[in-house]
Amino acid sequence: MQSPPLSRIRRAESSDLLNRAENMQSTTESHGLSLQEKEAFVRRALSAMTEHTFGFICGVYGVSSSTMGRHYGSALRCKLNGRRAVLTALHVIEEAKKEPFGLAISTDYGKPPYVVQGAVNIDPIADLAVYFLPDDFPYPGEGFWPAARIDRSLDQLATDYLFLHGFPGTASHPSQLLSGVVSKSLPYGAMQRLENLPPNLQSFQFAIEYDPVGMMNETGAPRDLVDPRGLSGSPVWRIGVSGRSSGEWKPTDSLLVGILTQWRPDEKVLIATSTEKLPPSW
Amino acid sequence: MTLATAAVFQPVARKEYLDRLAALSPGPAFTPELWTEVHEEVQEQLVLLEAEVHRMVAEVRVDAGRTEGNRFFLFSYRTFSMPHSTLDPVVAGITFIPARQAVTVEADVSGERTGDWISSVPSKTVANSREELVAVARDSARKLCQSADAIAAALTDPSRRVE
Repeated sequence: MQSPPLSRIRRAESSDLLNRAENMQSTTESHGLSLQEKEAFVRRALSAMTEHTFGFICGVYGVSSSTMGRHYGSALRCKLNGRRAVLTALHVIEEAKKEPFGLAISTDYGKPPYVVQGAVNIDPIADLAVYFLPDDFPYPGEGFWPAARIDRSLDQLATDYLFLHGFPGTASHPSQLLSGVVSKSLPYGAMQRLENLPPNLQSFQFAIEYDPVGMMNETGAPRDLVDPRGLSGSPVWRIGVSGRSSGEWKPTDSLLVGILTQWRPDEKVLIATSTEKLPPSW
Repeated sequence: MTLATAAVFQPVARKEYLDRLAALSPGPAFTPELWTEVHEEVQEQLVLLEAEVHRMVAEVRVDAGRTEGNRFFLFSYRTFSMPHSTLDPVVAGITFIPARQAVTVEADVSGERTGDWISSVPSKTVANSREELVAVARDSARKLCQSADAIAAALTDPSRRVE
């Protein structure tokens, strides 16, 4: 009995190791979940990611008077080079600063915001800003996204599920009762858009699907589009399931991959600056 | 001024392009570490095969190795060859092949260059756990060890000479 020369085929395929990405994709395709299973998985993952990330996000406000402010955007509390920092989009900082009493960032529920004083590090091309927090910033150490969970390679961006969490402006309103501003967060998940991209998309940016049609909640029921203005500065994560067993996935596998900077309603995408663009000195 | 932030919105998801999501099934976690563990288990068993073939063909040369590729997770093998000979070396190995939510384990002995079939072990499909996968790998390797006679015969069979 003669069989095909299996050994030779196997040896020849060892050269395929030179192309690891192709290898991995092929293996996962043949061993991945069905589309239906993926939908069910990401719906479950959204709830876990919402809870996991809420403690790291904050709002950026312009202070209009001693008792009132206005929501301008969102931000991430994180650790950068061992220092506590707030990372957001530069245009959020610039707009909020125009209010008479400057800009502030939220701290804890029902607490006064922290008024930003001193220098803010900026990257105008990437539309990024980072504010290194003084020692008197009142927030516990565990509320800062660890630097070790910032993904700067982005190799698995297109094969992972993206998740962003921030405070849309339409869900933020002044409250006389609280003498302040009440904001509701929006947790949102989608895949990276790879085709029909905005023509001027920069190499350090990536696009996230944001079409008013086809939104669904965690039960799979349709949802209306939430106006994303105010989400600028929101952190974007990949949930970290790419190449892993969905059964063993946990929200602590997630990695920061970008900061939201734009909404392009014509192309139905949100644009983020990738963490590859974060200056090493930050 | 005070601020009150709360996660009140229900999470919103989109499902376009989910075909690209490279999430693996919730079965065994196919990490590189797992395949190293499986490879080591196979090789530990194949030591017996090497000793037995060596007992029958004293001058045999044996090389151990592993490869991976597009169509399989791991091929863990030992190659038996006759030094200074044109006889086709013999490869005894186990292949771990992706199957829907499972892994198929195939063990066989064949010619390295000609691929001529020498012996094989019935394939098995594993779906439940890492432990089951390692156990099946061990069992298949032990069964391959029963091929020592066939390997020794092939290594001395003049019809298996190759150019």
